[in-house]
Amino acid sequence: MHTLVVLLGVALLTFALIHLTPGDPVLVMLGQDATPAELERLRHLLGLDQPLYVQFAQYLGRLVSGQMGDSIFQHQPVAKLIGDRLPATVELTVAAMVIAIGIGLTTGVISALVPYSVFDVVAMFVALSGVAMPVFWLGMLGILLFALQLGWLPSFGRGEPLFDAVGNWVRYGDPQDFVDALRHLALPALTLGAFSTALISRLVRSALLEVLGQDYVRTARAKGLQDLAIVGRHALPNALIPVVTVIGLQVGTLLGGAILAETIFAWPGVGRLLLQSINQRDYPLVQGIVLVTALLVSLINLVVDLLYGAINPRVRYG
Amino acid sequence: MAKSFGPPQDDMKISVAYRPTVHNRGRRRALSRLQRNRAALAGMVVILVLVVAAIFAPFLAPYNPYTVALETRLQSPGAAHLLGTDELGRDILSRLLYGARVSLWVGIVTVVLAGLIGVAGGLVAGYLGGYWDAVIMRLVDVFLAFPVIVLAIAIVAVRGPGLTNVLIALALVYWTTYARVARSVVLILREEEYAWAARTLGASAPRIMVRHLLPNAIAPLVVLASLGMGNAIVAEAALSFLGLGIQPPEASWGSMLNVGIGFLRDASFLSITPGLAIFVTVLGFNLLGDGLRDALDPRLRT
Repeated sequence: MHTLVVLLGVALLTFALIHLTPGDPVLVMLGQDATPAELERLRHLLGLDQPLYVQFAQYLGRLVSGQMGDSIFQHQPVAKLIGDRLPATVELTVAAMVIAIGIGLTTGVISALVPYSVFDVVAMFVALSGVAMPVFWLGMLGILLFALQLGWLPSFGRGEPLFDAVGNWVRYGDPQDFVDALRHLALPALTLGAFSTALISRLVRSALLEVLGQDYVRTARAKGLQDLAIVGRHALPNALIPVVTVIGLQVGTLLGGAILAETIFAWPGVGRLLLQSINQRDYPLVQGIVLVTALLVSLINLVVDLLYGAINPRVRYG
Repeated sequence: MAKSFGPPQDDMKISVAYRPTVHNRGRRRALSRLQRNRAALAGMVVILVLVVAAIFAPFLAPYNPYTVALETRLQSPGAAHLLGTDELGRDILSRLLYGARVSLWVGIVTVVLAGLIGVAGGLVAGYLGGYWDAVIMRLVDVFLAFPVIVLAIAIVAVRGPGLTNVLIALALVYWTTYARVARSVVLILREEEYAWAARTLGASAPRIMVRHLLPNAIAPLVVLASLGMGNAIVAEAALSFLGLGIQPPEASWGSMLNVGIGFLRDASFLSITPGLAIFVTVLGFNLLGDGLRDALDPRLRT
C-alpha cells in the first residue's frame, strides 16, 4: 500500500515536471520559429489542451498499460528507446555495485579486524577521499592515467554487451569479445563504484568494530571458537544488517552517478539518452527516463525492505 | 557525506542515537572535543581558505577571469599564469578563485533553503503527527524515490540552466534529509517535560515548535548542514559539468571541467585544478561534519 502511494506520487511529480517550464512548454520544445499550427498540433498530441486532471488521468492510464508516449524528435515510443538503452546502464550499474560490495566489504572487514594498523589507516584514508571524490573528476583522472598515459584501457565506448560476450565465449571458445567487453567496462565501472566502495568499507568497518565489542562475541571467544568462525558466523551477519540498507540506498546513487559516468565514457546507456533528450527538449523522453529511474529505485528499495526482514529476525513486517 | 549525490545515510544514524543533552556545559565540552579533533580542524582550515578566496577573489585574482586573450590560450602552468590559461586564454587561477564564490554561494543558499523547507516540514510532521505526518512523510518518500542527481537534472532541464534554477533544484532535492531528521528529533523532544510544561501553560503549537523544540534540535541539523554544503557543491559542479548548471562565461568549477574534458589529451592541467578544488572543498566540509557529529554526540564516535 505504502509503495503504491509512493509510486502514485512519483507519477504525479514526473507528470508535473512538464508544467514547471517557464512559459508554454510546447513553445519551449519547438522553439520560436514554430508556426501556430505546429504548436497546436503538438499541444494536442501531448494532450496539453486538456484540463490538468484529464491529462493526469490519461497519463496514468497510459502508464498502467506500459506506454509513455512517443519521443517528439526520434518518432519512436519512449518505452522502446529506454528499453534499448537500459541494458547498458544496468550492466554498468551492476558492475559498479559488484565492485563496491566486493572491495568495500573486504576492505571494511580487514580494517575492523586490524584497527589502527597500517592497512586500516591507509584504507580509511583512501575511503575518506573516495567519499569526497566527484564521480566526473575521478573518471577524467582515470582516462588520463589508464587510457592516455599508460594506454592500458580504452578511454570511451562499450564493447559487446557482457552477456553476449560471455555467450560468444561459451559458444565459440573465443574469449576475445569477453576480454574486450571487460576492458571497456573496467574504467566506467570502477569510477562509478568508487564512492559506494568507500562508503561501504567505512560502514562495514564501524559496524563490525561495534559488534566485535559485544558480549556474545566475547562468549564465542571464551568458548574457544576460531577467529574466522567468530567473525563469519557471529559478528559479520549482525554487522551487515545496517550495511544492507545502505547498499540498497546506493542503487539510487549509482543510477544517478551512471548519468555522469556515461557522459564521460560515452557509454551508450539511459544517462546519455537523458542528456540528449534534454538538449533536444524532448520532454516526453525526459519524463519517461526520470520515471523509469524512480520506478527502478522504488522497486529495489522494496526488495531491500523485504530482504531486511529476512536477514533481521528482529524486524517483522505485518 | 559528500557522497557525491547519494541519498542521505547519516541522517538516520544521527537521529536515532541523538538525545537532547546539549546545554551550556555540554556545549563547551562539545567545542573542546571539536578543537581536539585534528581532522575537523583540517576541514575548518579548508573551509576558511574557501571563504577567504570567495570573498577576496577580486583582490587575490592576478587577472580578470573573463578577459579573453586568444594569443595566450592553453598555456601550461608557468610564471605568468601560475595554473595556466584555458581555451580562451583566461587565467585559470583567477577563474578558480571566482569559481569559489559560486560554490560557496550554492552551498549556503541550498542548505538554507533546503533546511527551511525541510525543518518546517519535519517539525510539523513530528509535532502534529497524524494526518500531517502521513502526508509530509509520504511526500518525502516520493522525493527520495528519485536519485538526487536525476531529479536535479530533470528540474533544471525543464526550468532551464542557470544559477537560480540550480538553487531551486538543489533545494527541492535536499529538503528531505532535514525533514526526516527534524521529525525524528521532534518525536523525542515533544515528550520532554519542558514541552509538556509549555503545553500546560497554553502555548500554541507553532510557539512550542519554534521557541522550545527547534533550539534543542539544532545539533543534528548543524551536522547535516555541514555535510549538506559538500553535497550541494558537488551537485552544482555535476550539473555545470553536464552543461546544465552555471553557464559560460561565468566561472564555476564544474563548467571548467566541462571544458577541460575536451582537452584531456593535450591540456590536462585544465581539468586537474578545478577537480582538485571541488574534491578538497567537499573533503573539508565532510571532515568538519564528521567532527561536529563526534563532538555533539560522543556516543556516535567511531
